[in-house]
Amino acid sequence: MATADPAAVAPQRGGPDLRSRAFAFGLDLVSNVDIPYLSAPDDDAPNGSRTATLRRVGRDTMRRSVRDLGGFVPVFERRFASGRPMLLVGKSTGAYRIWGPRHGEYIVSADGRLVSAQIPDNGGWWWTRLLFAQVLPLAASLQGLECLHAGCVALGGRAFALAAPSGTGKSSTLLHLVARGALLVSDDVVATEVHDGAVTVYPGPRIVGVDPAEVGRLPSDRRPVTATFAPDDPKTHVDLPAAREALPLAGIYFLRRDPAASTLVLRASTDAWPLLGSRFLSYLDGAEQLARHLDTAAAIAGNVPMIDVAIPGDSSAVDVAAALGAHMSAAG
Amino acid sequence: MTMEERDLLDCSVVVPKNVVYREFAHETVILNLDTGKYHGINRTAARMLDVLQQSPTIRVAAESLAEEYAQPVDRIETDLVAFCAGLLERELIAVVERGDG
Repeated sequence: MATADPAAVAPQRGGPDLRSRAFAFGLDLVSNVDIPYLSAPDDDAPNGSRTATLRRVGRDTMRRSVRDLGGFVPVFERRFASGRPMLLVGKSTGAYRIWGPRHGEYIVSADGRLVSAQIPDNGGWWWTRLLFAQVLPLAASLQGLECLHAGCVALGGRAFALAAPSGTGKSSTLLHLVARGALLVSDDVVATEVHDGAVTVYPGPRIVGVDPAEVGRLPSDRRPVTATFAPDDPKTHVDLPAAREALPLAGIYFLRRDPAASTLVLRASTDAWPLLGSRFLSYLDGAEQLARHLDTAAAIAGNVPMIDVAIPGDSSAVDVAAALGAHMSAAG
Repeated sequence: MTMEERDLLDCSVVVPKNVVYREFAHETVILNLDTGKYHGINRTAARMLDVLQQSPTIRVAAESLAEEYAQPVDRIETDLVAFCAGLLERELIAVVERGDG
């Protein structure tokens, strides 16, 4: 018989084997496995009120948990061109199940506080891609944060987000902004929280995936110390200097390629729709989550400068980073 | 205006609990939490929605808006009924018949 008890999925927080501690997406995470590309907090005090426990489990335990929870209804999937599944997300009464080939299988309790991870034995660091791209953002969202589809850097103690359609060069621009002195806050997904109209963002993993050619375009003294590759992925994944604390969101740039543009143009925007379309986990469609996204969008539109960035077809990520870096430095 | 539309004039308008809206710079965005769909309305329409909610009937709202915008009441009534019909179709408002007309 199916059970909705999240405790059946993963043990409660605490235990002698939970030796690893890290922060990401506003979560104070304890785990029985070291998680590459996440930073440990500076002290032993909880890094915020949101805690999560990630426990690595074996294949049999995971199978038992999936069977016991039972009845996972598909809520999201992504497939390769061949039709093979790339990512499957299911939901039961008490948990979410996330699976990706060679990335492992994860169960996240409905309150986002417990994560079971069946990590492939020979996966190297590769499994963290799914952890960072889905599992932890889901846990953060279930704990009340709003995850936006955007990258983010910090400059002068303030955060600046970059939202763009895939292929625009967002991650490459982040790389070159960091080379110019910014700190990485997050690539691709940024966790936000609104308090009294002010928008706070929380750092994610220290890693960015970019075209290897972009690393070659960095000044020789700014090349990342750690860069790695993964199977079936043309990108280079680089470990970058990253922010370690929650930061006020001071601007959001909406990047778009404009073949008709002759120069790169940054223009203040009041258009709410790109923000409304920036929900990261679209399958979280509960009333509370939908309302939270609308509130977050309204808070950003009302309190944070929004800038439309039209990028000519021949502009490189280096050009875009130079323009954005200058704009960020001049802001407020 | 059809008979059905005329009947609407004596109804009151309420925004259901499953509908929320927030003001942005140039528009108000209405969200139906059941469907997850956003709808944008301009400032004039947002003002119409505010007055509709504060008024006992659509007819009274039309009188108030006609005075505010210095327009003939019958024209505002026609606009309001069309506006409400559109919101009803998208399940963004509900109308309640007034027993006392």
